[in-house]
Amino acid sequence: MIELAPDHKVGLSLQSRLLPAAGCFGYGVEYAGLVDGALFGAIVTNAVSLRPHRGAPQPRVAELSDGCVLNTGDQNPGVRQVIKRYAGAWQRLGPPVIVHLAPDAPSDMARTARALAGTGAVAGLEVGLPDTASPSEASAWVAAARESELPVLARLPLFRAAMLAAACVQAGADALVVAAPPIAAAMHPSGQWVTGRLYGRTVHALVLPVVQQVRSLNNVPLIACGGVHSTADARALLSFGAVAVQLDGILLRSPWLLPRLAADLASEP
Amino acid sequence: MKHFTATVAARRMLGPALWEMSLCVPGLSTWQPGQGCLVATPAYLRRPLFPACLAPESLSVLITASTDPATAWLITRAPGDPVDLAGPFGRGFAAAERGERWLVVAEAAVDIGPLRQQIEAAVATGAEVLVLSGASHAATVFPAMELPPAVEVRIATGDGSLGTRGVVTGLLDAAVPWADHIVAVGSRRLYLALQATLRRLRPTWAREKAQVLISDVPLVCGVGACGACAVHGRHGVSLVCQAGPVVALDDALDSEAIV
Repeated sequence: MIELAPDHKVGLSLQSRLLPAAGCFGYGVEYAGLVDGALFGAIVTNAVSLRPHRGAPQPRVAELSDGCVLNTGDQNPGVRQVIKRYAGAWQRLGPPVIVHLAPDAPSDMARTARALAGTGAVAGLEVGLPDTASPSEASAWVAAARESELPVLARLPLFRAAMLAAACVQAGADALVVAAPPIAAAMHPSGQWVTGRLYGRTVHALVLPVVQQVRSLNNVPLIACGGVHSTADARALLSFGAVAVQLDGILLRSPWLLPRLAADLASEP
Repeated sequence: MKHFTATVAARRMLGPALWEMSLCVPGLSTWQPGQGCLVATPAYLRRPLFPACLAPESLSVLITASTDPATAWLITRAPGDPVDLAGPFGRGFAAAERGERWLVVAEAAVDIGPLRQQIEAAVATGAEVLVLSGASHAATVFPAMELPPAVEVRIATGDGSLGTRGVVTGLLDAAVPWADHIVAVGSRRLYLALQATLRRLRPTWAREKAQVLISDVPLVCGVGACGACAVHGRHGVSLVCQAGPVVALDDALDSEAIV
């Protein structure tokens, strides 16, 4: 059992060290029949905001030689619709559900967080910090999410993770996620540039030293995320100090590799 | 949607740049014409393909040589090679009924692929089928002998080497008044021309009876999880892998395009 929120009155326990990254597993129901979501320690959902977001225009994806750039613009139907559509299913999923919060005004995020907490179907919240967040902004967002009284994970931007980690912990984050996919740009075959999150094997090499750095500076549980495409990739992140690993690009490519990954890591101490 | 490890059963060339690849897919059962699958290639992301022929535990796809290395890789697969695919995803074409008149429009030879099973099914049901097929020149026309004998085929080639000189949209005026249902696969330009022809010649046309395939939007997960295929339209945001790839013509054109 892996405890993500040891100081929280309720806590957030995982039966497995694997979680999906936000944006890569929908709201927990889309892969039913294709992938056994029960193999995850928890389900991290796609982004949710107070009001609906239309998200980015097309093209949303540009492929690279060993990865892709994806920009959905945090498209979501808003918290009211998300609750209406998915809260019932979340109760029946099995693994605890962690809802990813899109960066809203803190007051709006607080309303979203309280609404999700009120369903009784959500076990935790993951705050998606934008790449440009300052420490004070990060603190405000974490504090907003904590109004839910649920365990709060702070997902840190890759290249500012060390700078923001302390502020998030001081604001009450129970765990840290290192990291959000870095921002990148790639050209779509139409000739248009797509600027968004970078997924691919190369990201793993970028994440490893940041995990080590944040681990050395903070004592809260750390979840690593970025470029995991094999058991060896996951084990490396765990060896650098993470207690759990989020899967992103691999879920876009071959989600049916999950059983093998889960089985391999089940034997990890 | 399910995950399959298929095997290449056969590969044959239908034209200078057109191949039909037949796959043995153990466990494959139902698949609606127009639904797609996602095939693993050396590229990072899977490639969407739309089966041309469907049978229990087998399917075939049409592949054209293109600048996409992933597609080029597929063409080199030989009988016995494994192919990793997932499907079906999305919504397919409506089913035909006996006595109906189905107009099938394919902008290029490869566009017959997603329509082929629909053509076969319509003929088997007892519907009449007219196919409008476009190509740049005679050598690149989809071989009419590959379609059921009961199907009438009208061809347009850019250089006039076969059929009518011009593009396939030039054949619409003569065909649209005849049709009860229309299905089309091609570019947004084709769909705009089809919509304009319908509004001019069939102003009371029931919108759900003209269906097209959206193929210019990135398709990544196939299950509506990643949001890559979302398009903004008159009715809000919809996911092509779920609400499509076959949609009403008007809905396809109401949605944003990759220009």
